[in-house]
Amino acid sequence: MAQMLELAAGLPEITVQPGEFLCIEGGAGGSIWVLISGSLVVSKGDVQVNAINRPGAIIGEVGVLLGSNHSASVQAETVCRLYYAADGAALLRTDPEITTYVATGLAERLNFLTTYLADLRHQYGDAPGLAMVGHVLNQLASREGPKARPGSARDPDPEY
Amino acid sequence: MRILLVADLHYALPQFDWVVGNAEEFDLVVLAGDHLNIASAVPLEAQSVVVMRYATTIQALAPLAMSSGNHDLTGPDAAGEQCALWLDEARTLGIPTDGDSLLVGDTLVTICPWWDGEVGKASVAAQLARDAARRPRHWVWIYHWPPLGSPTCWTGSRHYGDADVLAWIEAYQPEVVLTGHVHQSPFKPDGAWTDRIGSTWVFNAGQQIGPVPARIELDLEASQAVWESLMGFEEQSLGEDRPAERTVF
Repeated sequence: MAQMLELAAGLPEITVQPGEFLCIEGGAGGSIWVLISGSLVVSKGDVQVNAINRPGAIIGEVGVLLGSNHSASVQAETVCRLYYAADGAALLRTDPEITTYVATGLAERLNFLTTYLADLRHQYGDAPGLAMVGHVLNQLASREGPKARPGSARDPDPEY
Repeated sequence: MRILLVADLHYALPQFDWVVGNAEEFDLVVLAGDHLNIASAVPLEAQSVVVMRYATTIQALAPLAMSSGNHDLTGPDAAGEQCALWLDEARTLGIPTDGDSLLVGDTLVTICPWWDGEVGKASVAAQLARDAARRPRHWVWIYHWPPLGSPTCWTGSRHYGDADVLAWIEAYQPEVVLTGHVHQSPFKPDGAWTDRIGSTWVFNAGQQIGPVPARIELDLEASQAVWESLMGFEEQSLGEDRPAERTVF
């Protein structure tokens, strides 16, 4: 992560006070932050799901790559200093070293998931839902096709 | 012929596991729509892969028929109307699905898609007319949305049903219509898991929490239907001309 601090050193620096939000769950994505110092908490709904306190940690890159809204809220727990790219997509397009670093991090996380799930399948292989994990991961890894567009015009109420 | 009806599993994987574990006891397993959950954090693309894997697992144990519900729609068809594009793969895997008709012994099962526009509606109307012309001794429809005005579409505060399927039932009088969609109906005092419209029996098992789905077991030879849920157990003789009194309340 120290490498990311070096790569991002040319970006503008911002300071966030305790209690301030970097982003709100469901809000529009598009920006990328790199933590220089301080501590942040990540929450979904009322549940805290993660803490970010390692210098060099990247925030917002998944939403930028998927073009999606923020999947969680990120709030400063202490005074935080961060590098900030308002247009995260432009940063990734123009800086191949940062893009490679981000891609490597995502590949590592994917590897964590697949190895964890493979072990789950090994240990709990009798349950149908777990026995299929390997198959599902292979299908998802090779999936091609249009992005799903959910919803019904005839009955748009998601309750039913 | 023994039929298991479940619907509205909404990506509840333990409930799919339960179906896998019990499929072999039936001559036909019916998943009557809303396999996916558009409110889930898991993308529909991933959910559909998982559900398709469940479908092939169930199909290896017992004949399976699966129709779409409104949560299963993933994109527009050639007419620009929303449909369950991913269910095309089920057909290629030999699983009867939207628009197909399945003959099991002397029972014709017509699997109606969730239609989402006038072209889809016309297609369902044509499908029903086609099967009406060749109906054998038993004719069963799978259609996600219960008919309007029926207690099988009672939410607890209003009837939330489909007027078009009601008209089709009145026109063709199939023996049985297997539905879902309105989760609360069997669990409300003024609702029901079964209804009689003319000579047609309509069923909706409802949706419940936990690892075991609310379900209906239907035996066409014995003219018997059984509803099992967290609320309890009720029976219905199909030889009667009206639904039995509710007993779980």
